[in-house]
Amino acid sequence: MNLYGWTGKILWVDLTTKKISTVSTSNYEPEKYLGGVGLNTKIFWELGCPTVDAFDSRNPLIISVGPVTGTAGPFSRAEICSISPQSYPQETFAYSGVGGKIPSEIKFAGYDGLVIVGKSKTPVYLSILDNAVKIGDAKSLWGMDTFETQKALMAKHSNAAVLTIGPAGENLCRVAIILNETASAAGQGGYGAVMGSKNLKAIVVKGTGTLKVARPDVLMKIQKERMDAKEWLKGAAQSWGRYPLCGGAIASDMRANRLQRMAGCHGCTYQCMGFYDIPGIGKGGQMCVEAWYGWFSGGSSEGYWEGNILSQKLGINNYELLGIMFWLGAVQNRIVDKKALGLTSIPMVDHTGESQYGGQKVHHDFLTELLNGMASGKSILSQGTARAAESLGPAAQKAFNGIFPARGYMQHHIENVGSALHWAMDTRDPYSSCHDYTLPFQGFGYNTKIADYFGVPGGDMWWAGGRKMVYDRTEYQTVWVQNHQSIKNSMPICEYASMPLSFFHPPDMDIRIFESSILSAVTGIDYSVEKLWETGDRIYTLRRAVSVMRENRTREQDDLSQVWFERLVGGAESLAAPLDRAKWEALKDRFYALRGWNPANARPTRARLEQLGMKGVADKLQRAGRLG
Amino acid sequence: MADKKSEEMKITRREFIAGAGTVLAFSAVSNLTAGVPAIAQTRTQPVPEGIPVSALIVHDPNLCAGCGVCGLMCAFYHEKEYGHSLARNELVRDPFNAVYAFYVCQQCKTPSCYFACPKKDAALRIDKQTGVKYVNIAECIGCGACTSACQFTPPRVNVHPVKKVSFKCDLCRGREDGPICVEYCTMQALKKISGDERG
Repeated sequence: MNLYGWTGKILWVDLTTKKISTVSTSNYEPEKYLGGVGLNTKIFWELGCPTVDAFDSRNPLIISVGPVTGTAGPFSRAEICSISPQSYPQETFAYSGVGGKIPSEIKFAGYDGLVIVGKSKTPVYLSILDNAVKIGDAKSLWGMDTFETQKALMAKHSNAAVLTIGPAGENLCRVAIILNETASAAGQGGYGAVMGSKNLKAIVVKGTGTLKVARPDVLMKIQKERMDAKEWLKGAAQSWGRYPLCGGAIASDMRANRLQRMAGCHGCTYQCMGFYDIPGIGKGGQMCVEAWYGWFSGGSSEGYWEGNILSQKLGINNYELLGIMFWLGAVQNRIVDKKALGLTSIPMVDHTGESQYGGQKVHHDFLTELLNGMASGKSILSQGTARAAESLGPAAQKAFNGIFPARGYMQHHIENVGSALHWAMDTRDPYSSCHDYTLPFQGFGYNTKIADYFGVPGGDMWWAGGRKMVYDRTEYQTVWVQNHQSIKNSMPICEYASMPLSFFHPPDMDIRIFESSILSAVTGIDYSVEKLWETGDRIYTLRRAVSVMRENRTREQDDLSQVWFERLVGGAESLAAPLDRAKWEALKDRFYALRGWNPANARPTRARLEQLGMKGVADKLQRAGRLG
Repeated sequence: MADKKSEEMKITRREFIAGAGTVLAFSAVSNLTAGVPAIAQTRTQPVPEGIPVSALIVHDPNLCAGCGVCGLMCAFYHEKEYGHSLARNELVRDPFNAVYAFYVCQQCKTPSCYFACPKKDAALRIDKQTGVKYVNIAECIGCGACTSACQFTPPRVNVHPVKKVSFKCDLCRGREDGPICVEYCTMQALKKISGDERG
């Protein structure tokens, strides 16, 4: 086992038997699967891909950091994998990343990952202080919000980092998050409810150990090059979290009057969050989708901010809330009765003629009703929009299908054919780790070299010159980004740091070189770009093997909802035209061929698996009768 | 002064990181919400004649984002490893108020650590050109006298958790680009001020 990058140990906790043990990371071929999603998926595969439900005690909650976690840079990331209660109609084995302080602490405490199985009879929390691992009583914490829970545990455990759920997770809300600090969440997937189903309120981690690096001089040189690009990094360039993303009067007000300072994840050179305070509502960080209510508050900063603070405290997924707000248009269109959703009044429907939709009290009443309904489990929306829409009948479901194109997740940057294909193939909304398709979003100019990465003319990928519907050779683009996605969420490296035009790596350094150089310097294993991309390919293919094994994934499921083939789904993030079914299916044929999967059944073939060094996977799939 | 040490508050740095210091840490944070940390006024002896006043690293908590790059890069530069316990500085974070305190050697004009060292000038030394106090690990016996003598809580000179000799901030003595924490602080919250600026 390599001594650099990985700690060599995975903590294994059984909440039913209260047994705590460690297993060797080398059991899971970390050189081949790195960490994060790759390592988690390998662990799940070796567990036999249990076909249990998300809330079954046998569903493992797997949380891994990766070889580069703990170094300075955008690497304080942990990935959570488990059977997802949010996915629909079928629960899928999916993933969700979280940044903040806690990933570095897991590494310094000496672990590459945590595997939590079983279910406690009473509320508990897990404390990990280096080698001292304990299951503690959490009865007094049960019912507390995420901020108060963390404060209580930090006071008790000497300012340790805490991952916690709020009331939403406790009450098995299928869109419950797991939160660290005020704005670092494992959002998508509903994994807060998996913790809740295990009666696990929180995980507390503090590490005083160290991380050895194989080639410190090389790593220092890369870091120095990044720092020398000062105009990308320093002071005034910090802009992201200052927006807020909803823009307009809210953004101006928040920037001018409410911003305290910037904030972000541990050890990162780009602190992307703004930390805001509105007295009477609360303080917290915000970076992107925390602005979910800002688009619907009629310009009210207080409404926007209370939406964010309350959802974070209760532990509800902001991205899903954005989807719910769009879907509430169905109330306006008299497709859905607001009473069925437990709502008395909806500002954007019932107060449209008023300034700021009636002001703070109106927003407060609505947000309290909506979010408490979800967090308490009393509203049908606590089951997620997908299941709520299904229970309300075909018309509600039709309104849902446009906004939520696949597996119960809301539309997220489906702006070209390549990203649509990526979505169709994934197990959740993939945009935790594939913003590569949205390059101009960053506004930092246009790099024509990017085109070479994808094997397609660059201008066809994104907005430059207008959006286009390009099917030709698009499979190369999608496979490239899927492999890159797997590298990102397995090294792991922050999504915003790994977009090819992003601001974390030296501006003139190809992102592929940056990632392979960092990983090689830390681990001492030579990951050439080719080897790294093969690693991404292997991880993505193993994810597919899990889907085939556990969920009997088929070609028919590799799709978007039919609405996306019939009409344009509006908004800033949309395709230039509806998808063309015949061209789409032909593209899928080429995609499977390029991946080495059988186009007839969308399963990996033995030839491809063996080429990727996955003979054991091929054997198991064959024994199950599910080889491609 | 708020972070001046009383006898009963003596804790080692390792204990501070590992467990004992939370209440203390937060009370210290709340006293550092504005301005730069004050420089110690001490009743101990001044440094010998002719040695200049050392430069000093100061922290602006209004700019700090609490990322901790300062500690990571400190450990990495000096030890070629990452980890809070190997850093010569300490960042204590209150993420719910975005308030951060930064603890580092204050390069005292009356350095009690230096005078407490049983191997003064061999182990704990003062650079005659710059006035920087630093540890010569080849001579240090790890007795911890300097840690006990430090006028601050948490102490700014500590016993290394692995090497068992004292370690402290030496302003990256000999590093061409100056203290690495200052260079890598992307928020520009850390600044090196010269002896003249200290007055």
